[in-house]
Amino acid sequence: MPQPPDFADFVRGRSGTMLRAAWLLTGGDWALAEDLVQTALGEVWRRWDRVADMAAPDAYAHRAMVNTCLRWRGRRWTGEIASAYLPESAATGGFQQVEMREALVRALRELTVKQRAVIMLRYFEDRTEAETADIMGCSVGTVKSQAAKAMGKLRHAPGLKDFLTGETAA
Amino acid sequence: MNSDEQRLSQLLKMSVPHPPHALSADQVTTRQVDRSAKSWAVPAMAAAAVAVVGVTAGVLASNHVSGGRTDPSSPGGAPAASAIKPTVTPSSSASPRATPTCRAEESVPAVTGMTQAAAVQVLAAAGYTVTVTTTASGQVPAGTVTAQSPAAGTRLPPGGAVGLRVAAANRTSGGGAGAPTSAPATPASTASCPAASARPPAQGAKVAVPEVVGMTQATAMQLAQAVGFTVTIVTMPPPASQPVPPGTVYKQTPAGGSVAARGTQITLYLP
Repeated sequence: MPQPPDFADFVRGRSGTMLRAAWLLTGGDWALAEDLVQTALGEVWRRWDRVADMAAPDAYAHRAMVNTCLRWRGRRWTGEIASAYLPESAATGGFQQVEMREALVRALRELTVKQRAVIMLRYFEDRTEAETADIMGCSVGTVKSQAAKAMGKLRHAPGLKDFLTGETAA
Repeated sequence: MNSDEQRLSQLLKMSVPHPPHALSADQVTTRQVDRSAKSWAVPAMAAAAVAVVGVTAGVLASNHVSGGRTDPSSPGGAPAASAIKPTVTPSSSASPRATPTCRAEESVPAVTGMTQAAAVQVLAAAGYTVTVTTTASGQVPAGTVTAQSPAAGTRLPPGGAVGLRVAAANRTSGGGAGAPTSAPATPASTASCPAASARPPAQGAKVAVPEVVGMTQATAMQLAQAVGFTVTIVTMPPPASQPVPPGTVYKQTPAGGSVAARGTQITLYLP
């Protein structure tokens, strides 16, 4: 099967960004994040003839990833995950950052996949509500309500509460 | 964004770690091959086979028509198959088989006189893109290609554009005139043709044997000789189980789709 030459470049250039977004979507699970990105890039590759001609192939890939994730809703992990175990933590960054990351992962797992998608698109990638709605294929109203619900949960999450309510400035 | 949201945004950008290792395209494509190979490989092979039959038969059909005979059984828009085997009978069990090999064509095939569908298929199989212009023409049946540009035999690398002028139905004369519709060649046909720009095989080179069962003797001979075979005709009653119309090839050796050297003798059996 012929492989268009620039697909490899595309994967090299985009996979880092997509993996970080997928990390958020999957609640901080690198294995699932890689699975998700590989699946999304597989969709892109199958349509690469068309996607390569698009003005923004990266946007297409991103959309494929979010939609794949939302489609995976039926899978066990996509819902709220009652984490009985401590999530892995990379030994990078300062001590405070590691604690914060662990708190974030625990909080993300309390969210639904839809809420995580909204959080990722709106606050990690700084997209507008309209863009977020477009990528997720839902209404702006849904984006707003999901963001508000997610925000409400995160605001009360242990370890994040202080940071998010600004009581101890970072 | 309120201050909560700004802080969340800051938190996310600060906390999301960098991936432990990057993905490579190979990881993606090898996974995907396993999943998708079954779904489209078979249709692609079939399409390639049809395309090859289209090329070989198409060239023939144009010779056939320009020789003074038109084929009344192929109306405009009919699939190329009707142009390939004008005399095949419904009871015949012959099915066009062809290996998905490529007929190397560097020059534009002759498609004038063919139906539009057959012409498009022939040109697409040769790797050309096709632009069809419909014009009114009282003389020829609707759907027939009346002119082509560049002319048959012109050197044109695969991927080049070939314009066709197709006779419109009389009632629509004027209405549909000059409206070009583009029918791009299927990518599969060019992608599967590594030898698309090669010269025609020399004497002794291996070529695919055309499937000529179901064709008239003249047609079959013309086709086989065009590919470079010598033809022997054997007149022999067909098996009782296989009713064959007079003048029709009911058996051939070597079989269509097999590979033989150019110059090989091909034997055609007629009732």
